[in-house]
Amino acid sequence: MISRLQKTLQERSVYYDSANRSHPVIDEILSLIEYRDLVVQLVERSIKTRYKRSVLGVAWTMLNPFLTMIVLTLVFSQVFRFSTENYPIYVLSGIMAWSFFSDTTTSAMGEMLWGGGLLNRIYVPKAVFAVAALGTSTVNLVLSLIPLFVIALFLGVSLHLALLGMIPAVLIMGMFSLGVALLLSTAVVYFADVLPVYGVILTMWMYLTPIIYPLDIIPPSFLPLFKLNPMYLMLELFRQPLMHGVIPGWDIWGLAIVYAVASLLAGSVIFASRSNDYVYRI
Amino acid sequence: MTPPVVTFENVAVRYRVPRESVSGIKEYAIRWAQRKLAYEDFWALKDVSFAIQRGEIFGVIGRNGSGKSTLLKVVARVLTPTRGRVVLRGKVAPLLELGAGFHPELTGRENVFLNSALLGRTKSEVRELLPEIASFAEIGEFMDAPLRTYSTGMVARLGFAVATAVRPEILLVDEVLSVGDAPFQQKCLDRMYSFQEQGTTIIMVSHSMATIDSFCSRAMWLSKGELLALGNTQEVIRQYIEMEKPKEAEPAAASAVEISPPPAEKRIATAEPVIDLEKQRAALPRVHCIYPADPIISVRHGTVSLWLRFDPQKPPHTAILFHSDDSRYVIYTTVDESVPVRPLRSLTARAGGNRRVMETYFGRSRFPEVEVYFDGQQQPGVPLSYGEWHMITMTWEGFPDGVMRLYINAEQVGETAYDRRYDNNYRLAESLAVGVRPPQWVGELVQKDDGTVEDLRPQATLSVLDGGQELKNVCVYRQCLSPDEIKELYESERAALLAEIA
Repeated sequence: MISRLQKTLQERSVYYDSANRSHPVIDEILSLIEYRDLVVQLVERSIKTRYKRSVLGVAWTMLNPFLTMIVLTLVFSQVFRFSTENYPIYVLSGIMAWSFFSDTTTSAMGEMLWGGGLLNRIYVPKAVFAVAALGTSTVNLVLSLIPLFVIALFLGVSLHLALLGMIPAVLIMGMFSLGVALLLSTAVVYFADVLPVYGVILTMWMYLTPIIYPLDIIPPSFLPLFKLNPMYLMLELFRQPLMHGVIPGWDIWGLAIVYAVASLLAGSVIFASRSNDYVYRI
Repeated sequence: MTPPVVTFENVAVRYRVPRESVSGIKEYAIRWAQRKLAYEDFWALKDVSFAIQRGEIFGVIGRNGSGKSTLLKVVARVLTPTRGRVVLRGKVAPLLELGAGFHPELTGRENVFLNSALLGRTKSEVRELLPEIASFAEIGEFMDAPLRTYSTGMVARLGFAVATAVRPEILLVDEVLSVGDAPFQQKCLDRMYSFQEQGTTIIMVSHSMATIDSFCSRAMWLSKGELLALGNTQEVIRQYIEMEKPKEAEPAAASAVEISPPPAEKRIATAEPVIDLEKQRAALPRVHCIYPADPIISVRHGTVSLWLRFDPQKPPHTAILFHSDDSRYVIYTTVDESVPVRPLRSLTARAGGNRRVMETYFGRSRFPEVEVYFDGQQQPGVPLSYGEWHMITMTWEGFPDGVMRLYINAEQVGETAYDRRYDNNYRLAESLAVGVRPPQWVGELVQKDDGTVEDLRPQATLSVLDGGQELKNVCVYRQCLSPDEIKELYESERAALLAEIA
């Protein structure tokens, strides 16, 4: 299987026939494998350049959510008096998961526009920017897990084996985010105003998701509708193992997986079917 | 026969341009609902078919908007043809805009990795290539400094070094050879030619006909996306020049290419040579004149002979046989600027000398030239005295392995062989040889970005200028005279000269 893939990749790099290409999605996936080092390089670049001139450097990746958490904890537990147990952990994990999604999708769009100049000159698989955005967010997420666990231990939250459930949770979140990122990348090529509009939508979406507030402030009649929000499901999957040491039920897993698969499928099919068009548009 | 490296079969590329600009989602939605989304189809390439063989240097010419860049983009796999079929055998390396994708905040080293990854190389490959890239780009200790601290030249050098770190099967070159200083250009060119020798196919796009003419063995001419000519470079360029010239009779000419002629002060009077068919010789009696070179001279072999009398009172810096457009001397003298009295320092015979092409691409040192230094200046010194007539003779004996010789008073004072490395199937040397242009020379018809063409072609094919020193018996021979023949010539002409003076 692996050797067959290697053979295919080898052939692809030395022979190109515009009339005899695989399905756009397959073609894009093969190209991505061929250009896997580019993904790594792009991830490294965005992590390195983000804090390049700052003194603390990559430490900001961990400090940022930590400081936000302190501010939000002060504001919400003192001013609004949410009575959630371990509120700092609740809000920190929520912010982390949300940033993972919002960073992936927003920077995928930004990278796609940045990469436009390159796509015009040299061949690179176009999905590389969305995949790199996902990679960057994943690295950031993993890095900020460190302060999360430190604070959790500090606050006396006991860590269970259920924490392993966070791994598939991140995987599902990643699939969902990548799908949305690909859809947005397609859209932004055609309409530049997707970028600001999406910013507004993200803010709205964030307030519709229980990130900084507990679920119990939602009126019970709205709850069924509220729970259809894919980000709510993803958040549950990510947060429950840490907060309560339990892995959420199959209803939540099932729906989240459906969302993730649907998003990734729609995203990659639409993105790939349009990918020949981008060069003309960017 | 091996299959061609690049094959285009009826390739067409369509750009869809919205008739009116629809920039917003709302507007788009309204128009979509109203079924009013109108597109203008623009075919950047129309049914273009050709094949390029392994190791060819292939030129693409055409005006702006003719489809040249689109064609390169199709080969670079940036664009997929709307119709038709493209087959590429081998890895393509685009040398389009060097340093595209560099990030100013990253160090040179980090940028090498990023840029190499953009070209599809793996990290382990790059790690091996890194020392070679760093030394080729001459970046030195700057390798670990952020790119924003680099000079433009350094960025371009690094870009070239990265792009060409691995020999590609197909190399795309788009007006990028003006990178850095002359020695670096020389290095770039060396590398390109060594790639070609190893079988790399090079596709080159340039506005300069001279560049295409110098490098490419075959060329194609695109106009409005259509292939108008394909084949021998000189033939294609000739057709291009003919067609793209404005036709005065037609009113539509206003929109055609405008060719601006050289300024009047650069024009020189013309004269006819006195041809002696028996001796295969043409005498050029008038100084400060242009002669048609074609019947006179052969670029493959020949002799230039003349008599010079050096006068300390006259301008010492003098050019004798000379091409009018950009100083292609055949024989000239230079002065020693370091001494106040400025004595004659050297006498040089040079083959070729299209300064624009040669200097830009090869650096000064590569001219086939013979230089002699006057006594006391430098070794080897040749004793020449003021006030006396000297016969200066230069011969060249053909391509590809011709040797150029310089004689003073029938004594050989120097010789040099052509440097073949930069000859593209010897055509470059042939075109530029010995300061004589081939009959249909079309170089330096330079197309500018606004679509107009500046006529930088020489008005002359061969001209004689004396620069101040006294000059007599300027003759051009179609044959490369042997030392004995030169001796004979020297004796007879000397006798005639002495008689004349007496």
